[in-house]
Amino acid sequence: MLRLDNVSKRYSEGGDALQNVTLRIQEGEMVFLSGHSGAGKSTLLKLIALIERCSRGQIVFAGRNLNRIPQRHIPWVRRRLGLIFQDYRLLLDRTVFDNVALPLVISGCSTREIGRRVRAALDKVGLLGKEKRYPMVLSGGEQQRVSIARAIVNKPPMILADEPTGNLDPELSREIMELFKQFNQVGVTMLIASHDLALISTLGTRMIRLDRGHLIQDSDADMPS
Amino acid sequence: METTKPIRPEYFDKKRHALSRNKRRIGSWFISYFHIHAQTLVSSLGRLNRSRFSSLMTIVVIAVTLTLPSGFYLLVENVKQLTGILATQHYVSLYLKQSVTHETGKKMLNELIAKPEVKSAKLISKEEGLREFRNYSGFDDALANLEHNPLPVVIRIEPVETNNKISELRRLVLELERIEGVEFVQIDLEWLERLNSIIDLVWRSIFVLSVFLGMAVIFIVGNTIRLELESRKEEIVVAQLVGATNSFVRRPFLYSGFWYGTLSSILSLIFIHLIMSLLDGPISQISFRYNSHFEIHGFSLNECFFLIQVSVFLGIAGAWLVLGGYLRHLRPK
Repeated sequence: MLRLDNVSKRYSEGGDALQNVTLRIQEGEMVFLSGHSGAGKSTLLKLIALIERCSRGQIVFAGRNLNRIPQRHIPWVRRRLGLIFQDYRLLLDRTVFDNVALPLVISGCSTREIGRRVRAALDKVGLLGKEKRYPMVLSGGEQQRVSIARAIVNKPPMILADEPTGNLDPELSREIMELFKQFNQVGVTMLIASHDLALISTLGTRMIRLDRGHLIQDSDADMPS
Repeated sequence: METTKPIRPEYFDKKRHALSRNKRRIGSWFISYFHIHAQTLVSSLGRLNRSRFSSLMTIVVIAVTLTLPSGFYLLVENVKQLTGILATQHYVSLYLKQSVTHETGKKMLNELIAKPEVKSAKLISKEEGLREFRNYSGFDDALANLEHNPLPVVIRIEPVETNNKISELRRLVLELERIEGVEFVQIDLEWLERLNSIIDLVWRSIFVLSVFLGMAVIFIVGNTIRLELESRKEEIVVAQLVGATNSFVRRPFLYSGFWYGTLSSILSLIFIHLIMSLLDGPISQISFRYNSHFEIHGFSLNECFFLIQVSVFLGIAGAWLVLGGYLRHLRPK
């Protein structure tokens, strides 16, 4: 599903965010990306979502070389990804329903279909009764769950999450991880960046560790640290 | 071994998900396309309505900007018509040779009346000429002492009303000068020619003015749209992250440009109408005194639509200009 070959990212202001990262993620896997702040986790996710382009190397996602994708085709890549951000990125002047419905509106779904899918997604994250509320009146955990609902509403084959539990307390974090496990069980490939080592290790799934832009450990491939 | 291939828009893939089962025909693509545009058309108007005060200010500014060239255009058109009418009120006076008698003059008169360019003609005998001169010049006493009448027989011609007043009149004058028995032809063409050259100058100025004001409209709309873009930046970025194409992002703003163009041109037409009705009173007075049937005329229906079209074009152009720059700014590096 996802293949990175010697991917490097250098910023013009100096500094290599990523250096020679090579990894493979199969369909249906659940992978954690760990490392300190500044290790390059967010950068890696941004490269996959084509928020930025890599300086060297190539990324192949779902059989398509992301380097060769022109600007105008980027939306189509993003529609196959569910993105979850640490700062939620919700539209504060729109209701929960509208926020979750955004990917479907963009795809041109019919109103009836939108209603059905949005409610299904909200049900999944446990926020069914709150569709008419505005994000501001929701708690942090609820807002994150809205953003998760938005990421899954289009049923993407892969979900990228950047520090999804970053602002949440341990109990909430565990609930969110449970949700992710459920998605994974249905067959969604998950790539989650998190520096919460304690949480990750309890789940026992594959973990990739980054340090200052280098991939230093991949629990799957048994690379030496 | 994974093969890499360039990504295709997967249109039909997307559409099969999006549209419900019983609409899987090509025709349904057009329906949804129409539906999206109709929706955006209405929603962008609603957005304009929500920030009513600032939208209204922008619309008034654009309307005034449009009214200037349109108003001048109408002014020149009407003045052209007016000069045409005034031109015909200038009689052409043929001063016949001294040797021509009254009877010869009568014959010439009849020949002239037969001409199509001549509306009416009047023969002024030597005596009548002297009388007129006495009444209007104030040399009454001096003239009483004259032994014989030095004035010639005069034929006064009223030319027919045509559109190309100046050139027709000039041609007529040349023709009349060649008639045997005519000493010289008098007509006050100079005034008309002066007016004509002024009109030409005004025409050219209007053209230049229109170009500049057209650019002004583009920039005014562009600036307003830029502000709208800034205030909705978060929404745009999130939409793009979730997979919105550029046309999805562009559409509402282009329709905003459309509405600014439409509404401001309609307001401009209202302004022009108001101005016309304000001026109608005094102008009717003037034309009444000049004994003419001049009526001030505004825009024809075609011209109204033309103004609206131009305004819509300028509005959308302004929006497009700003969007292009903005979207380029948001590319991945």
